[in-house]
Amino acid sequence: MNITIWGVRGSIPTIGPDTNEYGGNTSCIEVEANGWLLVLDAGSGIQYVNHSQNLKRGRVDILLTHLHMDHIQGLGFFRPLFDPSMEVHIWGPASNDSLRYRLGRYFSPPLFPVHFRDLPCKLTLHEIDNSSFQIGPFEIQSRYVTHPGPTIGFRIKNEHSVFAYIPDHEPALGPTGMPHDVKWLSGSDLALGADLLLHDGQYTVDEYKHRIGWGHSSIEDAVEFAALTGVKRLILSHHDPMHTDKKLHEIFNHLKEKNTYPFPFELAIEGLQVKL
Amino acid sequence: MGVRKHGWLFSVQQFDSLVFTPSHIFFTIVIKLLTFNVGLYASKALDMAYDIEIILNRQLADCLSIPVFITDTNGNLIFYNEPAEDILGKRYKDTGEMPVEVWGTVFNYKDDDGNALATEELPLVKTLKNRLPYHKTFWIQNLKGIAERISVTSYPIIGRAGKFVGAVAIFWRPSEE
Ligand SMILES: [Zn+2]
Ligand SMILES: [Zn+2]
Repeated sequence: MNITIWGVRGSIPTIGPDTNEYGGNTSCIEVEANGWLLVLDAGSGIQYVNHSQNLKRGRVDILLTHLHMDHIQGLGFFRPLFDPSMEVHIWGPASNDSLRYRLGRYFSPPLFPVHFRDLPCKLTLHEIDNSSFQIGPFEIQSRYVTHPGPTIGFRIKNEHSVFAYIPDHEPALGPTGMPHDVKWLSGSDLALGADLLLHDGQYTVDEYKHRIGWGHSSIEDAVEFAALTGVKRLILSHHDPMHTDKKLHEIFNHLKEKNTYPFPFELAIEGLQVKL
Repeated sequence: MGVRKHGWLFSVQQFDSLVFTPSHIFFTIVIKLLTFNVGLYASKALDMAYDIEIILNRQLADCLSIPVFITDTNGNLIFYNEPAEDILGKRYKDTGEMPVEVWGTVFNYKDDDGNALATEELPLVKTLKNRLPYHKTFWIQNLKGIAERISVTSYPIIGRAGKFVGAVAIFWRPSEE
């Protein structure tokens, strides 16, 4: 499984000299195996997938964790949607309104000049909840997790490895913080024993105290979540737009000094490639 | 034929689905073995954690000063908050989750005239059976023999996917109504 990180930022793209190193594009991950391509979330980082060699197969599957703007804002600029020879599948969380209706609010004037129905690709939408499904070599499970609005995380497995993806997640929400019994821990069954977990780590501990209920994690909570679920490697992503490269360095150095966990953890950087 | 036809919280009809056959026992042993090894379990099954709707109901119950009991769809008590501990006479940190056949025997239910209440009339039993909310005021007597007039409101937890995942019972002292 070949994983490439194309978007690491939460909330809003923050591209500029202060974010050059870690990157300023919003959530998007490319996952490839045996010529099959998954795109996890369609933040502004999806523009780099346009150039992926892995698009040659003629089919791409876009898996959306939820429909917050930072996870769909790049969708209209994804070239395969405008290619009649391409088969595009979009998988997203079920809600009261259909996925087509909800995405159609983005794909319609005045927000976007092209209507959903006019996209020339062969488009199929899939509504998922606590679901299990197969795409080529990938066995995929989705589960609802703690985040405002219908939001899912993914557990993606192929014959070699397991990759868990939970970019927007607040498992510590509640009066006593992070539950230590994994049975009561949101997202734990997605992450359990994964070879790699990419998880929300938007805030510092102090920032989180003022943002409880916003749907995101402190970096410390994210690392604790990874420890509780026994993951083998952790990448922290969904960086706060206010966190410059300098600030992220400081945060990460502080985290390393304070914690000695038995697994490697790092901050997501745009362009980082991981082979599982 | 049921496991506990005289159980407090469940109707005979519901207990009929809880017959322990050799295959039930076999699967219970298999599940215990799987859950013993987290790594093995991770590769075999994904549904280790409670549904998010259950988890969030517990988080809410943890914030409340009114007694709240949360059960799974079979009526097993999977969480009760601190105010509920006083009613139950037990501590969650001591008991953990309690099978229906254990916690269902803690209380004795009576109507205002002192007559024993049929289990089918209890709000939580009705909620588990019909997946609808119910409310009723009656008398309970706990293991210590203390009788108390109480109102119970119960509601089903039906998640986003339309899946029935459990039920909640809130106990009110009538003075709080
Ligand atoms: Zn986000
Ligand atoms: Zn979000």
